[in-house]
Amino acid sequence: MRAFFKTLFGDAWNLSAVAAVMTAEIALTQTGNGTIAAWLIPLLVLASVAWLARY
Amino acid sequence: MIDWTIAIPAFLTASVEWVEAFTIVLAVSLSIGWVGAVGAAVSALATLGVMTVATGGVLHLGFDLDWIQLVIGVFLLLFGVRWMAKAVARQAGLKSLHNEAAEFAETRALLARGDWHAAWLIAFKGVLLEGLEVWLVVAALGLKGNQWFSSAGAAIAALAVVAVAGLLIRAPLQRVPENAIKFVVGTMILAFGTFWTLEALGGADVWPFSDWSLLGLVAFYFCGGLGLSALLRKQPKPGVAL
Repeated sequence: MRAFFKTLFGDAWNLSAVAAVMTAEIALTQTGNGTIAAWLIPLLVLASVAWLARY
Repeated sequence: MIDWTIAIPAFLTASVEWVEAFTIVLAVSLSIGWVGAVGAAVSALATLGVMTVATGGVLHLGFDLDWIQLVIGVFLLLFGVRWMAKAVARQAGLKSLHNEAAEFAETRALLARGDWHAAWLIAFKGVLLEGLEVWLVVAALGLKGNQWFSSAGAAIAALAVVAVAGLLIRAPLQRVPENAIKFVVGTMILAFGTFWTLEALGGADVWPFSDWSLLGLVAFYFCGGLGLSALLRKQPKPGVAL
């Protein structure tokens, strides 16, 4: 079962990275900054990739 | 009509996962024979087939498309970030390249006790877990414009190609450039995940070039990933004293 969940969700670091991205997406869209999010979120996703790749 | 923007990422993702699954089945077959190993693989594939059909059925029940798009987009981000990070780390030399021969040897060592049921379960679990990632991508890509034929068809085609190549070579498929494929697929999946989650939350207007923004995202992640690999290659590994 653990392997099943790990396949679907990844590890805690992976979950944290995506949670941070989603939190930013929700915050920006709910405050009417959706168009800014379209430029910021890809950068944040790439930063998450860099963080996960390094650690 | 095949939608190649769906079929290509589905085919590439499935190819990588089927190669890993084939390596496990091959190792198990040397322990309990082809009949048992293929039986386990077919059982796992049947489970995945049922899941895919059920997913398609559920998505036609009339759920709010924005919510489905958001949930699947989050899964694509979870999956894409992981794949991309692994591919970047391997390219940068921070992590060793995935080695099918080593995985084959590990599975063989695990099977050394000769327990038939344990071996069968290893093959079943291996195909099911590798196939789960295929299922996720097939479901996610198939959702866009109901392209189930393109996404599921591409995954089945990839299975056929890997199975035939594997049977001809009868060895772990080491020559498949797994990291390069993972990198390319990672960029595509991340682009879809980013596009869908933000569109589901903020509406279609948030993307400056509407659907064309998807291509921009693929290019951005591709170039960004290459840049990250180059950057990380120059930096010392974390925790390593100079």
